[in-house]
Order: sequence, then structure tokens, then C-alpha cells
Amino acid sequence: MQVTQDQGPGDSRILRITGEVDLKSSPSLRSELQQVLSQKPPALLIDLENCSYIDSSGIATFVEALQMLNTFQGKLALVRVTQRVKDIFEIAHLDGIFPMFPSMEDAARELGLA
Amino acid sequence: MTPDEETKSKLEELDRKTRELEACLAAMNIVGSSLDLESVLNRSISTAMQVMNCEASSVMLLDEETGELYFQQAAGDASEKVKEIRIPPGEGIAGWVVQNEEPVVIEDARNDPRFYKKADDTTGFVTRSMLAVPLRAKEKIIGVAEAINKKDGAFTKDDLPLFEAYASLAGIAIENARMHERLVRQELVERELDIARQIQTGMQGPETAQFEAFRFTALSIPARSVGGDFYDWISLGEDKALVAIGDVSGKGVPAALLMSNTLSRLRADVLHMESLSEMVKNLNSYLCATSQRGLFVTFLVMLLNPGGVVEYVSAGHPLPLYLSDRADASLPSTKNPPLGIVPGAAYTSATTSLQEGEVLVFYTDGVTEAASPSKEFFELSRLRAACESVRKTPEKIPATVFEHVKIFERGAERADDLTVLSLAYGSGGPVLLITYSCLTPDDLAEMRRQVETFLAQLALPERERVKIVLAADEVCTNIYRHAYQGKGGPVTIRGWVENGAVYFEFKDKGMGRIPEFPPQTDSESELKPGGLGLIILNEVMDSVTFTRNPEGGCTLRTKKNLEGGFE
Repeated sequence: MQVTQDQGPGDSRILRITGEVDLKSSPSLRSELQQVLSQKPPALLIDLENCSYIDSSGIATFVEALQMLNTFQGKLALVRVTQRVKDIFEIAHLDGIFPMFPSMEDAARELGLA
Repeated sequence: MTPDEETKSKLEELDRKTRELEACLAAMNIVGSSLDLESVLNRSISTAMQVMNCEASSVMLLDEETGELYFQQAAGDASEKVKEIRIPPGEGIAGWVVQNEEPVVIEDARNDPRFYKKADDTTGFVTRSMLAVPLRAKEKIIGVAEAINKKDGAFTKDDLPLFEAYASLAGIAIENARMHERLVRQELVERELDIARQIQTGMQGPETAQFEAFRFTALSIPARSVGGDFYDWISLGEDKALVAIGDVSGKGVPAALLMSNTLSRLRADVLHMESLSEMVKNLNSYLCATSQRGLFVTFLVMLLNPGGVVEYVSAGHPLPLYLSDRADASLPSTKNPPLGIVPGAAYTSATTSLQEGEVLVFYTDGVTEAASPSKEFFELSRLRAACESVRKTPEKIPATVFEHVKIFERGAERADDLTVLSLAYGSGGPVLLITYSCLTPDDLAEMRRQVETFLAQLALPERERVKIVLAADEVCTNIYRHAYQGKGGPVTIRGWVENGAVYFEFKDKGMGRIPEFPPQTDSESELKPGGLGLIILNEVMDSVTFTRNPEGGCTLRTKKNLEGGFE
């Protein structure tokens, strides 16, 4: 798994995840998320276009990120989620918790980012 | 003689002839009427009394062992009491009849020295005159029929032909009834043998069984109603199974008894087996101490391990036929004596590894020694040919071998029991086996690849594959985090296909507790350690079971149906 950060529209942050998130890689994803969220961005857009797999430990880090964002009214969006990964969220019964968008533009518009 | 007297005498003669004919007709009816000895005799005697116009009649039969005569059946005033009487050989009038094989007419019994007075003394009956004729069956005297006290006057020689005619038919009727009784008794014995056979068949192992990628099919047919061949399949927990085949020397009931004895001992011993060699050694000691009459047992037992590794001990039993494409596929010989002969003998085992698609065919010598009418043996070569003809569908091997043997025998009487077991490895579907001496998160990606490759061989939609891979990942993650508390440890993962479902088994040696399963799908349990993983596992699999291993650690088994049920 690789994670890269980017500046998004309207002070939001973009996190691009490539590869597979599992017990081995989720700790580094978690520290990356904590680092980004410590800056309290108004929104975090997680681009999962090239994320082929995520396990429960990966999902747990997203849940944690969501909870942190809630403390300062930040917003979270999962963008370009592949069907495989969508299926996994579904199995975990957590697909309704994370707003998902087919593109960055859709996400920016829906979240009201300039 | 005056014309009147002549006419009277002729009329009397005619009258007698008529009665004789009636008697013969009545007696003939008895012969065909019943096959029950008692009712035949009852009818004969009442017919005799009617026809002979006498007060009493009896049938005495000869006790072949003592030569005594006893009243099998009697009619008249003393008919119950006479049944207690047994007349010693040669005594009395009846005894005389048996000895001389001749009929007797006695006009005055009390004054005849041959008369057995004890009979009258016992019964209080007064015998005046009597007819006594031998009863014959197939030229042999089987008893004596008597007619006693003619109602109008005394018996004379003229009464004899009629009584003899009656007696000869009564003899036939008695013989028929006795023969029938023997048949009924024989049938009873056969029915008991049949029941014994059913019990024995019930004792044998299952007809089919499966363990991991091993598939087992068996067929055993005794030569007589009960036989000395036996076989068994025993599942030893989740990670081993055992196949056994044996042949008790001799046939029939004694062999069957030793067979059931061996089988029950094996089933008891196998539960606390330390090693295969040790178990066979103990079984031999037990049989040496108990088996008698020179009976012994040839025996072969094979322990099946995951991954195709088999360990076996042969105690004088032919090794299984090895069906393989590899030129060097062979089973090392173990050269041990049969069971029940050498007390304290040691039994060595051998080990080999079966490859995908290979088959072992276990058999008893009844198969290779099945004989044609020209006394040719079936031999190993024909057995191999029969097996090879259906090798790709190994479950058909036992039935096919039987068909071949039957054709070969062409109706010749079978001398020995036939037992054929086929043990196929793999080819029932793909098999997965991954072992980690220390599973860590670094291994997870590779584990997922292997599970994915295994699943790709099944008819599964891609989305289902991803879910199953995820579930396997979650199980391994939980084992690492909880059973091994984040330190890692040994894990064995097996996957196989059985009856339209794919199974996985994850075995660890850790300290983890068995979690509550299925998990509660509320937000609280998701926060529990491994909670989300368990929810995923429950969601993906059709069934999940946790068991604690006797040697420590936990085994988790999952099942996912392959046909239908896909969302």
C-alpha cells in the first residue's frame, strides 16, 4: 500500500491510497490519517481508485478518521471506490456511514467545497 | 355254505372292501392335508378309530437314540396318560413289531406274553384286543400304529390289510411333516444367519466417506451369510482419518465373531492411539490372547494426514494397489506378521505421500483368488485392469471390480468374501494447504494470493471470491492479534471442496478464547477486539464453527455453499 497526499479544492485534503490495505499496512495508513487530520482540514477526500482491497483494520482506521473529523465538523468522502472495495464496506454493514462519490468533482460539489 | 350264507358272506366281504376303500381315501386325505406333525397325527388317529371301529388308537414313534417307543399321539380314554409311557426296546407288543418288522393281531392281549402290562397299569385302561402295524418311512421303521379294542368283538387277521394300508399312508404323512419341520428349522437357522449378516454389515465401516481431499468408497460381500472380511473408516477429530481393512482366516460364524471382536477393539484403541505401530502391536497382543482354533487376522491400517501424507502398517495383508501416473509410485513394504499369531511382535509402519489424482485400492485376497470355472485365479493383473478402467471416477472402482469378478467367475461358487476399498486423493476438486511456522501481517498478502488462486479453480463469481478472501484474511488477522496477541505463531490453513461447498480450516496453537459467534451486529460489538472481522466472517460464510484442539489452540472451520445462495 502507498499513500500520497494532495491539496484539494477549498482547503480540503486528498489522500490517494494505492494497493491493498490490511493488517500490515493499516498502521501506516492510520498515522498518515492522523497527521493529515491534526491540521483539521474542512474536508478529507480519500481517493480509492487504485485501492484494490481493504480489510476490517483498514475500515477501522476510516471509522476512526470519521470520528476525529466529527470533533471539528470536518467532512469525509470516499471517492472513486471500486466495486470490490464497495462490496467489502457492504459486508461490514458500514457502506451507509461513508459518503461515496464517483469523482472528485462530484465530491467537491456535494460537500460544498469551492 | 348255503346260498344265503354265501350271499351274506359276500355282502360282508363287500362291506369290508368298501370300508377299506373309505379308509384309504381318508388316509390319503391326511397325507395331503397338513404339514404340521401334530395335526397330521391327530387326524390319522381319529381316522383310524373311525375306520377300524375301535375304542382307542395310538401312534408310537421310535426314539432313534434310545430305541425306546413313545406315544407321539393317542386317542381314546387314556390318551393323556399314555404320553408319559416310554417302552424299552423289544418290550411289549409294539416293541415286538419294531424288532420283527411285522404286524401283529392280538385277539386277547391279557393272555399274550408279549403284552406290555405297564401301559395298562399306568392308565387304568383295559386292553382286550389289538392291531399293531409298523410305520415305515423310506423303508425304515419309524414307529408303530395301534388300534385297540374293536367295538364289536375282537380284531382278526381280516382287519389287518385295512390297517396296514392306513399305516403306510400315515407313515408317509409323518415323514412329510417331519421333513417339513426340518425345512422350517433350517429356514429359521438361515434367517438367523441372515440377521447375523445384517448385524455384521452394520458393523462394517461406511460405504463412502471423505476427509480433506481423500475420498473413500467401499464394498464388501461375504461368501457365506457371514464372513471374515472387515473394513472401517474412522474420523479422528478434524485433522486425521483412518482406513482399515482385514481378513479373518476361515469363514462363517467363528470368523465373523473374531472379525467383530477385532473391529470393536480397533475402534476403542484408536481413540487413544499414541502411534500407529503401537496401536497395531497392542491389537496383536490382544488377539493373541483371545483368538483360538488357529484363527488369525491379516490387517492393514492407514492413517490419512492433510496434504496427502499417509502412514500405514500392514500385518500380513496385501498392500493396496497404487494407481498413479508416476513411474516410481509405490508403497514401501512393512513386512509384519498377521495379527493373532506372534505374541509381542513389533509392527513397523511406512509413510508415503499421495499426489493429486492418485488412487489406492485396498482389497482382500478373495478378490485376487476369485476363481473361474476352469480354476483360473482373478489375479492382481485383472484387478488392476478393472481399477484402471474407471480410475478417473474412483468411487466406481469397488462396484466395477465386483462386476469384473462376477463375469470372470461365470457362476462358479465363490469361496471367499470380497472386499474392495478405493481411496482417492484429490481430483475431487482443488485443495489448499498453507502452513506458517509463524504467521505475521507480512504473510497476509501472500496468503490472500494463494486463497484467490485456490478459489479461481472453482465456479465462483469474482465478487464471491473477493468476499471469501476477505473472510480468510479476517480470520488470520484475528489469530495474529488475539490467539498470538500480536506476536505471531504457527497456523495451518486448509481448503477443499466437498458436496457442493468449499470448506476452510484455520488451525492455530495460540491462547485465544473462542469468541461469541455469530457476533451481535450492534455498534458496541464492533468495538470489541476482532468484532468487525467476526461480523465479516459471519456475513460471508454459510457456517462457522470454532473448536478447541485437544493439544491446545483453536480450529476454526468455515463452509461456503457453491451452488445458489449468491447475492
